[in-house]
Amino acid sequence: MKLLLKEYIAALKERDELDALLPDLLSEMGWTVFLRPSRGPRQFGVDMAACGEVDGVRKVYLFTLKAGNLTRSEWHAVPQGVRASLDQIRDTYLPDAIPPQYAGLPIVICLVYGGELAQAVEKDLRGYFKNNKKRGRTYDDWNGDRLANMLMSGALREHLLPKESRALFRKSVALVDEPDVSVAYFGELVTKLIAEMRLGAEVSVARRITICLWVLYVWARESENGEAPYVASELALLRVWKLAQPVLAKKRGKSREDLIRAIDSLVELHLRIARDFALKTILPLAKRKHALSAAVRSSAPIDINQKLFDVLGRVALCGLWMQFIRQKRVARNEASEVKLLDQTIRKCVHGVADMINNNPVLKTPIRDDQITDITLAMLLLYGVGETAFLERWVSEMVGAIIYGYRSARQYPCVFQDPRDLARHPKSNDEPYKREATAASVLYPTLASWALILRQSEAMQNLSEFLATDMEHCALQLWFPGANSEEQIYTSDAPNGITLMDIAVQADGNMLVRVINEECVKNKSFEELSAMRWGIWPLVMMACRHNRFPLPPNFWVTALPAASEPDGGAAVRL
Amino acid sequence: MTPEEATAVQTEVSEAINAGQLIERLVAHAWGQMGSARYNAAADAAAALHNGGEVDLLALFRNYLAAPTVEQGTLFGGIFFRRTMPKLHSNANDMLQTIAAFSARPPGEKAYFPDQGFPAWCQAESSRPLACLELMKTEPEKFERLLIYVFHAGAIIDAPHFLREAIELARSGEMTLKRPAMAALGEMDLRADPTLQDRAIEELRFQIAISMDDAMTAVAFLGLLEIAKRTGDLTAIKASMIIVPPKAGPDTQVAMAQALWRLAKAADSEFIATILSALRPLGASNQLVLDQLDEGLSVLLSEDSLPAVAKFLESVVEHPAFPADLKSFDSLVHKLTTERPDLFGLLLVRALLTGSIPWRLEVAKLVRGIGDHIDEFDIDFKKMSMTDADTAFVCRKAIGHLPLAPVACASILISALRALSGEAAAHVAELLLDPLLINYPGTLQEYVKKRQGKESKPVAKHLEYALAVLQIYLKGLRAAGEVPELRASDQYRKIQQELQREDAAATWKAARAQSIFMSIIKSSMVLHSHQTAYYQEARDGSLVRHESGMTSHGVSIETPRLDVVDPLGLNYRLMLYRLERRPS
Repeated sequence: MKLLLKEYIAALKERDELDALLPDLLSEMGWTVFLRPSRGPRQFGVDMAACGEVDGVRKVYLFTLKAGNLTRSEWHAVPQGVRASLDQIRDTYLPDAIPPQYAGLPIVICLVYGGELAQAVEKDLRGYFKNNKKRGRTYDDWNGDRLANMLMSGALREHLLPKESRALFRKSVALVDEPDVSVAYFGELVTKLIAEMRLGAEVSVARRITICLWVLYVWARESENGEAPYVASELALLRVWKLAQPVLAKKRGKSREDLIRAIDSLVELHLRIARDFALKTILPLAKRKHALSAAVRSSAPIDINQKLFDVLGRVALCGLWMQFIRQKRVARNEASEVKLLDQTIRKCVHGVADMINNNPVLKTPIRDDQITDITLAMLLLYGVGETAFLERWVSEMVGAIIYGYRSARQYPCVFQDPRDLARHPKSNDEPYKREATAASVLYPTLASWALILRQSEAMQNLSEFLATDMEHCALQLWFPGANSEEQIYTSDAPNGITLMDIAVQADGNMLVRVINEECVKNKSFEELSAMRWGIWPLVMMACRHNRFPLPPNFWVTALPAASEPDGGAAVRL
Repeated sequence: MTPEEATAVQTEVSEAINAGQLIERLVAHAWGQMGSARYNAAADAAAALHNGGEVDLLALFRNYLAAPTVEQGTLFGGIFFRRTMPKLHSNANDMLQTIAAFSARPPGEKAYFPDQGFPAWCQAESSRPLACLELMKTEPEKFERLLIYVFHAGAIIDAPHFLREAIELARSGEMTLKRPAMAALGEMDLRADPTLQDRAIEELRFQIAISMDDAMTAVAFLGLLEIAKRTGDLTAIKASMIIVPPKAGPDTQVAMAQALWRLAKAADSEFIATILSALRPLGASNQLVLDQLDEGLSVLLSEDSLPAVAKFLESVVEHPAFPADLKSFDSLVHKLTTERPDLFGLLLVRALLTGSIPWRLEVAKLVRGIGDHIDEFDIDFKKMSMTDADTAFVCRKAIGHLPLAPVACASILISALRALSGEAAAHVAELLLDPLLINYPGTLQEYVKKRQGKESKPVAKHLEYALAVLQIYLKGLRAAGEVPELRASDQYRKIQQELQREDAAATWKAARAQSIFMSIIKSSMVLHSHQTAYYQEARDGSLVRHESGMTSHGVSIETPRLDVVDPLGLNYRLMLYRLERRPS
C-alpha cells in the first residue's frame, strides 16, 4: 500500500497536482489549512499554509511545493527556484503575512516535493536550513516517502480505510488497465466508504474518495489508460454529491463549508481527468479521417459505434462543464481565466465537430439511448452558435436513420444487451423490426432539434418516416420526477416521468406545445439539488453516466413558439 | 488386308450364315473384336452373299427385329449399315420394310436408325427414289422419317420432278407427308438451278405465311435455314423474320435460336439483332431456346454483335415473367470471361452506363469477388466515344456494383483515366482513393502501384496522387496508435469473439454438410498432431506403414475498412452510386 502511494506521489507531474492533494491530506489529519493553493505565482514563496499539532505542539507550517524530484537546477533557478522561494518566505512573508490568530506559534518552513532529493542538492538544502534556522523558526522537508506515510497514517489510515476497502482500492488501482474491472472495484470502494460512514463524516469520506480517485488517476496516467479514472470520477462525483445533500441542505456551518470545498476538489479533479481525456487523448485524433474509429481496434462496427458516441458525449460534456465554469468566472470578473476557458471550450467545440466530420459513424446512431450523447453535443455546439454545422448533422442523421431502417442495415434500437446489439439488426422481418424499435426518445428529441434549427425538410422527412414506418413505436420524452433526486445521481434504475404519445408532425406544433406544457407543469427538474445549486452539468453528467436522456428542460427555451415557423432563442445553460 | 485374310473372313461370314448367327456375330458382337479392316471385309462379304442370292440379309434383319427382345448391339450397328446397305440389291419395298422394322422397335431401345445407309442406297439407282416415294405415299405413317432422304436423293436425279412432288405434298394437307415434304424443300440441293431454288424458297415462305401450326412453321423455317446455310444468302430467312415472330411457338423459337449458330458463318449483326429481337419477349420461358442461343451467341460473339447480344441478355435477365440469370448462358460466359475479356469489359461498361439494375447486378456477378470469373479489365474508353460525364458515371457505377472486387473496379477506373483529363480525371482519381484505396489499402494499393509504373505519364500522375493521399490517410490512422481508452469494453469484446466463433462454427458445419468430398470419404478427428500413420497388411502378410501429414488450407480476404468504421455510410454511398441516373 505504501509503495502504491509513494509511486502515486512521485508521479504527480504538476505543482498544482500536489497542491490539490496536500490540503485534503492535512485537513484529514486535523490540521487547519488557512492559505490554500491558488493559481499563478506563489504568495511570497508560500504555496500553502496550515496550522497543526506536531508532537503535542501547535505549529504554523508554511509550504513551498515542488512536484517530482528536487534537482540542483530547480534549487538554484532564478527567480522561480526553490531557494528563491525560501528566501522570499523568510524576507517577505514572515514579517507581516502570518494571520494574527497564529502569531506567536512556532513556524516551520516546509519544502514539499513528491519525489526524491537529488544528492547534489542535499548539502545545499541542509546548509540553507541550518543557516536560516532561528528561535521560533525551523525548516523541514517532506519527500514522497514522508507524504506516503502521512497518507497511510492520515487520510487512509486503518480505521478510515479498513482492510477490505484497502483491498478494493488496491485492486482498482492495480487493474487500471482493465477499466471495467477497475471501475467496478472503485465503485465498490465508494459504496463501502459511504455505507460505513460515521455520522457527520461526510467531509472526510468525500476527501478520502477524492484521494483514492487521485491515486487511481495518477496510476492510470502512468499506464497511459485514462478510461477507468474517467468513469470512476463521474461515479465518485455523483455519489459524493448525493452523499452531501443532507449537509448542504443546512444553511451554514463549518462542515457545510468543508464539504463544499471537498466537492470543489472533486469537481476540479474530475475536470482535470475529463480535460486530459478530451484534449490530450481524443481531440488530437479527431482531426484525422477515421482515426478515432480505427483506434477502437475492433472489427465489429457496433463496437466502434458505441465507443464513438460514448466519447462524443464525454467530450461534449467536458465542453459544457467549461462553459459552466466560464459563467462563474465571468460573474467574478476573472478575465484571464475566462480567456483560458474560452480556448478550452473552442477546442472542445471544434473537437466535437471534427469527430463528427471525420467519423461518419457518428451520423448513424444505433442505440436509442445514444440520444444522450447526441444532445450533449448539440447543446455544446448550439451554445456557441455552431448552428450551420448542427443543421447538417441533424439532417444527415435523420437521412441515415431512415435509410438504415428502410434498408434494414443499421438503425437505432432499444436493445441494451450486448448480445442483442452485436446481432442487430439480425432480421429484416416486421416482428423483429417492431421489437427493436418499440420505443424511442431519440426520434422526438431529434425532431425537437430539427425544429430548433429550423430544418423543415428534416422535420418533414422524420415526421413522414415516423408516420409510415414507426407507427408501432412509442415516441416519448423523459423528465425528472419526484423520485429522481433520490435516484438520478447514483443509479440507472427507472425514475422520473415519461411523457408518452409524443406527436411528431411536420409543423412540430403539437410537439412544442406538449414539451412547453410539461416543462411548465413539471417542477421536478428545477427541484433537483444540482439545479438548485446551479450546477447544471452535474445533471447532464448523471444522465450521461446512468444512461438517461437529457430532460427537454435543457433545450425547451430554444424551441420555436408553437405557432411560429421560426426557430427559438438560447438553450438553458 | 491380304487376300488370304479376306478369304478367311468370307469363310467366317458363311459359317455364321449357316449357323443362323449372322446378325449376332456380325453386327452385335463383332465390331469390338474384329477391328475395322476385318469388319469392313465381313460387311462386304455379307453384302456379296446377299447380292449373290445366297442369303437375304434384309429378311434376316426383319426376322431378327420382329423378336420381342434383341441384342442391343444389333441396334447400334451403324458402321455395318453405312457400309453394307448402299451395296445391297433390293427392291424399294424390301428395303423400306426392313428400315421400318428398325423404326418399330420400342422407343426405349433407341434403335439405331440406318439413315446413313439409306440415302446412299436411294441414290445408287435412279429408279429407287421414285419407287420409294410411291410406296411411301401408300403408308405415310410408316415411312415418314425416310421421306426426306428420298427427296434428297430424288433431287439429285430429277430435281424438277421431286420439287413438284414436294410442293404438292406440302400443300396436300396430309400432315404425315406435309411435314417431311416441307423439310425436303430445304434439304434438296437446288443450287444448280436458281429458278428451282427460288421456287422452293417461295413455297417455304408461303407455308410459313399460311401455317397455323407451330411445328409446321418451325419445319418451314428450318427449311429456309438449310437453304440459307447452303447458299450463304440470308435474304429469304431475313424476310421471313417479319412474319415468323408473332406466331412463333416453342418449336419455331428453337428453330430461330438454332439459326444463330447454324448460320454463324453467314450471319451478320443485323441478322443476329433480328433473331434476338424476335426472341426477346420470351425470357427464360423456353430452356431449349436458351440452350440454342447460348451456343449461337458464344459462336457469334464479336464487337459488332455485342450491342445486340447485350440488349438481348438484358431483356432476358429483367424479363417480367421469365427472368433468367447468366448461368443459363454458360458457353457465352465462358467465352466472354476467358477468351474475350475485352468484349466482357465493353459489355460491363455498357451495362453500367445504360443497363437496368438487374442486368448490372447480373453482369457484376461475373467479376471475381462478386462472382468468380475475371478480376482485371483493360477497357478502351476512347474507342467507345463516351463523354467525360458518362465515363465518370460508369466509374461510380462500377464502385456501386463491384465493391467487393476492388482490383476489377480499380482497373475500370484506371482505364477511364486513360481517356479522361482535367476535372473528370481528378474526380475519378478521387474515387480511386475514396472509397477504393481507403477501403482496400492492402491488395489494391499493391495493384495501383504496379499499374503506376506501366501507365502513361498523365495517368501515372493521378495514381501517384491517390497513393500519396492514401499514405497521409494511413499515417493519420497509424498516428492514433494504441489508445486504450478507445478499446471496446472487455465484455463487448468477449461477446463479439463468442459470436464470431459461433458464426464460424455454423459456416464450417454448413460447408461440411454441403461438401461432396465429405460425403465420399471417411473423416477422423486427430487430437494431438498434424501427422498420422497407419498400417496395412500386404498380400504377403507383411505390414506396410503409411504416413500422411496434414496441411492447413485457407483463404484470406480483405474486408472493406469502411464496412467497419462506417458501415451504413458506405452502404448508403454505394446505394447512391447504384441508383444514380445517367447524366443527361
